[in-house]
Amino acid sequence: MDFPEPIRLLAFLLGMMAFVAVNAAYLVWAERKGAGRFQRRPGPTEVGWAGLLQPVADGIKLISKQVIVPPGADPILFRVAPLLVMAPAMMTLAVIPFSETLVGRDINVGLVFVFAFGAINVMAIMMGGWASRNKYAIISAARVVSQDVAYEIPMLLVVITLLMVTGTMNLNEIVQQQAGWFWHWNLFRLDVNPLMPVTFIIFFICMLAETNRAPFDMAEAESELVAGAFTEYAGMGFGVFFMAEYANIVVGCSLATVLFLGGWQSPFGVGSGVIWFLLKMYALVFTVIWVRWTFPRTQFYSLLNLSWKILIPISMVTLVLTCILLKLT
Amino acid sequence: MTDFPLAFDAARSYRRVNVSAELSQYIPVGLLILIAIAFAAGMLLASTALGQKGRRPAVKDTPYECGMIPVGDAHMRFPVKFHIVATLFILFDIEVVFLYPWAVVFKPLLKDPQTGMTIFTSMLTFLGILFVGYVYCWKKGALDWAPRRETPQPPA
Amino acid sequence: MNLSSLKLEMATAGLGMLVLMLGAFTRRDDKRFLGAISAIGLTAILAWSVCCGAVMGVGFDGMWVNDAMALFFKRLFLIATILVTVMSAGFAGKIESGVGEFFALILFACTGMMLTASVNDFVMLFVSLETVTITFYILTSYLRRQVPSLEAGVKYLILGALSSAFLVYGITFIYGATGGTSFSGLAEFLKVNGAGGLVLLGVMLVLAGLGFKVASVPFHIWVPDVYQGAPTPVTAFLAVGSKAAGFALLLRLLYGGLLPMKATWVALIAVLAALTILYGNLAAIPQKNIKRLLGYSSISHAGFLLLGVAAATAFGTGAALFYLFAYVFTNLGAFLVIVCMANATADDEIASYAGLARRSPLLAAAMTVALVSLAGVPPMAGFFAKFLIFSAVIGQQLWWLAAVGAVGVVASLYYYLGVVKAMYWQEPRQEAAIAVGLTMKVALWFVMAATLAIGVFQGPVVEWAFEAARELVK
Repeated sequence: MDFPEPIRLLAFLLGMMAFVAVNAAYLVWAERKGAGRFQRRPGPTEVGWAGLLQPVADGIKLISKQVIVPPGADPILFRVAPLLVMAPAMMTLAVIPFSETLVGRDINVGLVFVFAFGAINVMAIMMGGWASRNKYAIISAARVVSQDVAYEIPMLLVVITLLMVTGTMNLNEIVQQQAGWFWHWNLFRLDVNPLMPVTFIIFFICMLAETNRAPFDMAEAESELVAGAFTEYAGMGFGVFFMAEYANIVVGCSLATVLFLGGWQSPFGVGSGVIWFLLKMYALVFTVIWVRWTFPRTQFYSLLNLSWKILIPISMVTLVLTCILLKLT
Repeated sequence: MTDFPLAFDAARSYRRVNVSAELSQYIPVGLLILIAIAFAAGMLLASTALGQKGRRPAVKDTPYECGMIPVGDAHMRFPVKFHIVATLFILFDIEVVFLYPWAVVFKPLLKDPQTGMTIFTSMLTFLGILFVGYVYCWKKGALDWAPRRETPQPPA
Repeated sequence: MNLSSLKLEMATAGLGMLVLMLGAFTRRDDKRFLGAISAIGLTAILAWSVCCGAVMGVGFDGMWVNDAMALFFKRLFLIATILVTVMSAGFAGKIESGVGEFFALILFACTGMMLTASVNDFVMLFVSLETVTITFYILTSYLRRQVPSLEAGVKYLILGALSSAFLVYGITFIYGATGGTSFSGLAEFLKVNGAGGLVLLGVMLVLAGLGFKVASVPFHIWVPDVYQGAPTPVTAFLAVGSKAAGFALLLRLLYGGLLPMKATWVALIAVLAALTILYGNLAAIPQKNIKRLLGYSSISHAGFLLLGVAAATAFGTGAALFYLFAYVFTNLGAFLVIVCMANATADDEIASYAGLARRSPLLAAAMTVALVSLAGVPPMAGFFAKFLIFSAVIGQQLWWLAAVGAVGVVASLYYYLGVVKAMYWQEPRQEAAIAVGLTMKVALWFVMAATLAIGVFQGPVVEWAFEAARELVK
């Protein structure tokens, strides 16, 4: 592609926006459809064929709702929070390599970039919850912070074990290292580090918790907290939070794909490309949905104990073992 | 020649890097932030422009508590546990930040006989200290989130 | 030269972690045995440093220097910490919770102090100093249910943070001007370009930051309140350990990095020394609380130490090192008595020391030895220390400085002997004898003997201190 850089970037950004919007809309549809199937009911069927126009209808509905900023709320933080929750999700997508050339910005610290912007999400949700001046929202905000904060540590720790093997933080280089048949993917490279599956499982669990997905959706436990931190948001304010949540799932699954599943590499060594990336990513997204409708919501206390008392020690031990293994080989 | 070639070599090579060229790589990223925020803001503004302009009776403006009339202020005091967990997070997160650059250079430097032992032992020591701190936190109950069961007191 | 040159510090830090873990994992309610473990461990490290644990040389790309002076200071810190842990074991009854952590923090502070002795780089300077200071923030407010202790902790935190800010700000200027953080780099820069502009501003800010740590005028304001409010062993540790660490850094910086601008800093430190001596001694006179009195007295001693630094010769530096050595034993002796008294009478007013000679002859004798030595009366250690300092100052023809020092000594005699007078010639408020535990008795006898012995047989210590100073000053 020989477009001048600014134009290429602009085009990429616009494409990214469309990607985020379409993904958010149709993941909701997939989620509802999937939930339905898991519970032996058809899910949305009325609007369009198999309910395919349902997300469009939802979007129109959200946009036409009255926008209310509660008088008790902090007027600035309340309005800034949705922007801050949406922006990082889109930013992180910009460094993820969809294919060898299809990447917004191929920077050498891509991995740190993703984590750095991913962390803003926590702050934004807390901002929104606190600014709402609603008891449900504030409880939810406190939960989100302690939960995301707790799961960020094992996530970062297990990624270190991976980094020790790859030796680079450039996401595209990490993918290129995994070229060839599928046993070259980091997940299956047991010859380099037999602990890789453990690493991947911890990463996946942490990703579920970081995106506040069931069984870790304490933040918006509908039965206790209505809509959690977003209770006071009406219309598109709520819609933006909702979109950001799905965008974050896409980001998390993309990162897992890049780090562990070979990114855009095909599993057979030939014909690599964006299609494989999307295939793997959506398979992971489907797993996320599957998990949500299979496991019941945990208790808040056991959620935090799982991270602080099980995942963190395991990931520390993994780190030390990897360190020793690499020393020995 | 030196004890910690990694640290000092890194520092020296850092100086050679053309800082402005290194940073200009991030100008599009700055642009991206603006566009991403504009995208979200656009959706909100669209909602404001196209949304219903309904009446705003006082009851619509009260915080939503499933139809109950709210009692007391929502900005209430929180258990100190949340503060402890935040402090612990900062500690661990900073430790992890130290580990990142180490992990990237770990394999090449491990191969080098001059630095292999240093990079190996120094970080194991670091992790050991981190682990002592972690065990201490656990033992002192900083990680106990479950509500403590009331031990039945014998009647006085 | 590699990690083995850090052996002593690593051993101390390891001991600290061991004590922390033991404190967390033992079920025993009485955690005083941790004090015994700390003291024994530190004694072992001290013995190790004498026999074979000391590796001399320059390491870590010149960031780290192990020379005679570093070793002198490290042993000094170890001795001081041993005495402080013994004192804390006697004080532990007053600590409500976290006795195990108390000892661990003391050991971590000791590690930081030992690091300061070998510093040859601004980054190391900051890290080692903060290791000491941050542990002291916690230690000063350790009696958290008592308002004075909390007040002391908060004041120390705020002013300590301010001084650290000065320090870091100064370091950034120096880094900006010289393009590096090493002391030798700064010295070369000063030799070529002279002192001026940003680098001078940076140096002044760093010196101000260190001034806080050694408590010299005009950076002394935190001293009286913090000394009075902090738990007594912590006050003692602040007075000897933290101050000595500040001096170790000051000497390293002055001779390592600022040698080309010697004329400037000699004048500056001479003025600061004079002000500090005058302020410390005069403000101590009206004090009614013994800890506050010793707080002001410690300001004045910082002044005397600065006199030795201001002499700027090997002799003057050696005198300052000897002074510090004598000061550790003398001052800790006084604080040992205060701990015993606080256990018995529950306050630190000088009035409750009235007639102490009748209630406990040992405590009165130990206090007298300590105070007389602090005042500088022969044949105590303090006398010879002051003698050396004055001869160094006079040797440099700084007559006015010597005169100021003499005024300080005379003033100090008044308030030190006031306490002695109360102990021997005033009627006690109550007659009950004061019981002193066996460990404390041993410690008191040891400190008294050391104070006398250093005063009478100064030879070896003087030689040791002067050897250390000669290597530094060259």
